[in-house]
Amino acid sequence: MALAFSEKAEVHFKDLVSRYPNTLAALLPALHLAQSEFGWISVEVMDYVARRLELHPTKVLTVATFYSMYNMQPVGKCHVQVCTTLTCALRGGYEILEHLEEVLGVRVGETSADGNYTLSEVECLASCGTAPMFQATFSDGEIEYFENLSAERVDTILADLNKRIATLPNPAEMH
Amino acid sequence: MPKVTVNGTEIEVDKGTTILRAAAEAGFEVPHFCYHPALSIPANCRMCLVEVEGAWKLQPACYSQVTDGMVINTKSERVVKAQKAVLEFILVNHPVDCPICDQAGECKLQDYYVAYDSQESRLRAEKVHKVKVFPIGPEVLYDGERCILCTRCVRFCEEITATNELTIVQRGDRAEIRAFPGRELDNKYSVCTADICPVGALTARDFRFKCRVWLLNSTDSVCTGCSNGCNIHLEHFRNEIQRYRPRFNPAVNDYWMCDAGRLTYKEVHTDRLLHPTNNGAELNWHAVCETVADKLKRAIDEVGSDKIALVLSPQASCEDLHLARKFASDVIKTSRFYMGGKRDGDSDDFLIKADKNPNRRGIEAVFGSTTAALPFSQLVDDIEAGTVQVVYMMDQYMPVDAATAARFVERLDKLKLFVFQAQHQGALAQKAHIALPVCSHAESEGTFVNFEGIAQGFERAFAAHGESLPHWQIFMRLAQAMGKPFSYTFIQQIRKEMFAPRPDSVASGTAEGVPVE
Ligand code: SF4
Ligand code: SF4
Ligand code: FES
Ligand code: FES
Repeated sequence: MALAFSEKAEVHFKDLVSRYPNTLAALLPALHLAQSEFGWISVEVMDYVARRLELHPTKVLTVATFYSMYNMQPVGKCHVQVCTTLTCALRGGYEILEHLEEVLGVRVGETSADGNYTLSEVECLASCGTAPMFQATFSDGEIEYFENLSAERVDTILADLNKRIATLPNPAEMH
Repeated sequence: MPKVTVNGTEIEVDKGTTILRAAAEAGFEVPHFCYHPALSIPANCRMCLVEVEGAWKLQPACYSQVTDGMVINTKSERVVKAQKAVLEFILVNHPVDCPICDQAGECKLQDYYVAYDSQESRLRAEKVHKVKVFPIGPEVLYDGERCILCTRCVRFCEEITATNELTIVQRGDRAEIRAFPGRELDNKYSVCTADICPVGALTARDFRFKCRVWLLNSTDSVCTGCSNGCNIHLEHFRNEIQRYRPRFNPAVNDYWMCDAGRLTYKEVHTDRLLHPTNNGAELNWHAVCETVADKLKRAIDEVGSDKIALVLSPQASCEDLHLARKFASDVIKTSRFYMGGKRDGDSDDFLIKADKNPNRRGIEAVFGSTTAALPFSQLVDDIEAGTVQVVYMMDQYMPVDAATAARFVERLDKLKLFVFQAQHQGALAQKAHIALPVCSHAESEGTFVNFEGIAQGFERAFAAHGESLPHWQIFMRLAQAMGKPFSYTFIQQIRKEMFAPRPDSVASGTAEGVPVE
């Protein structure tokens, strides 16, 4: 099936293209939009974005592979990104990461077998005042910060998240 | 014009000249990887850093333009230190597998290491591994570990062919060159990327591991693949062409040539006719010339000169054609010419021309007109009608469709005499009463006139294969055997006589000065 933005995404796309002097400049936000729309950046998605922005596909390839926030492989419904930069590291970021590995049953970089969670280690997310923290990116495009973490708080948060993501689509199946 | 001082030498250069160019004019090499004169300047490799008096930081010489009174130092202590640092950085993850690298001997990294670095590696950690022998395109292979990410290949595909196949994927020490998934580096000039890749990251499938480059001899020549006449380095080892490489000529092909043309050298070494034959029996040149002379004389008496046709070849040089013309008019006394040569092929709006013959304009120049020769299809009809009874044919190419060609081959049986003078064996050689082996452009010297009327000389690279001779020498021998010898000793004498230099032709070879590649 040929890819296409939904009506809502199409409006968003047209708007963001209109905000830049040329389509190359609109590539980063267009890729973000495509990622939330199609779940992940597959070869098909890169081709689609290139077509929509009238860029050569290699331009999209080079940008999409350069930045680590574009998922070149499908992730889970909830992408948990734990900060381990200095402040978080000092305030127990690594313990949070290890705890998450244990309860989710995955290693950093992996996706849980049920396709619900992907765990990543990231650099400073500018929330040092409330360290340690992680960011969760949901497959519907929502992003949320969870701050002042402890192992116990992580467990409560996960219980909430489990409920929240039950109805979300699995990115691997979004296109 | 700005005056600048490079390492104490004062020179005057044009406004807008880069430091690298100015230094070259003053006689100083500035090492560089990413800079190529025909491409845009990304200044990404930092190999060309030089010191400019008054500037706090070292400047990239490839990009920075000179200003009046600029004092440049390309060899100061700071520059030497920077050069070492840049090379050490490039070599951090480089496998240094030069002994099994096909670029060894013509690798800028290898050369610059010796000239500007020469220090032991301080790296003790394991190096990053990347793809080896990656088939990035049908004609080119990629080695990720040797790639220095200069982006010359990327820019070539963007700026010269505008096909945009290549880019860098990933970043930092994972970065590599790739085509879009499922696509390839596949354009008509793709092997040029292997030429301009400064290291052994891109290599040509056809040439790699065929011959170490330091064993090659290089001869200035011209590609015979089409009428564009791209200037080439014809590189050979033990009487065999190993590869063609484009030779810079801004008036013709700049730094480039097409992939198809690059492979035309194979014709030189395929199915060659090596010995003169009379009805299939090998003879020496003396005997065969006597035989041809005899038969031609008899034919002239029996059927008359104007039933004798000469098929001209736009694959032959002007020197060859000049003597063909002279042989026809002075010895046989016929003016019945037909046009041979290859059929038209594909073309584009860059280098490739539809006319796959290197010297059609040469026929025009030698014969003074485009209508000197009748079309080949006419020859088939004329043989049928009996107006042609003897055919003397240069080269085996027939510029007609397969059916007409087959008809021609069939009609040959009707001829009183068919003399075939060509490089290659095949149906025509088999049908010939007399077959005379001709040597290729690699084995002779001569002149081609390209589609624009530019006359270009090519040199002899190696000895003739078998007993083959250039067309012009065969005509000399035959004229002698027929009792009307030509009085040339040197090819230069033919050259002087063959055509007056045309106002629109320029001299061959490279422009002033050696280009910085
Ligand atoms: S493959 Fe060669 S030309 Fe291309 S970026 Fe690497 S080193 Fe440069
Ligand atoms: S464009 Fe023509 S002359 Fe040039 S390399 Fe190709 S075939 Fe040879
Ligand atoms: S260090 Fe973790 S948010 Fe800044
Ligand atoms: S930075 Fe000047 S040649 Fe690469």
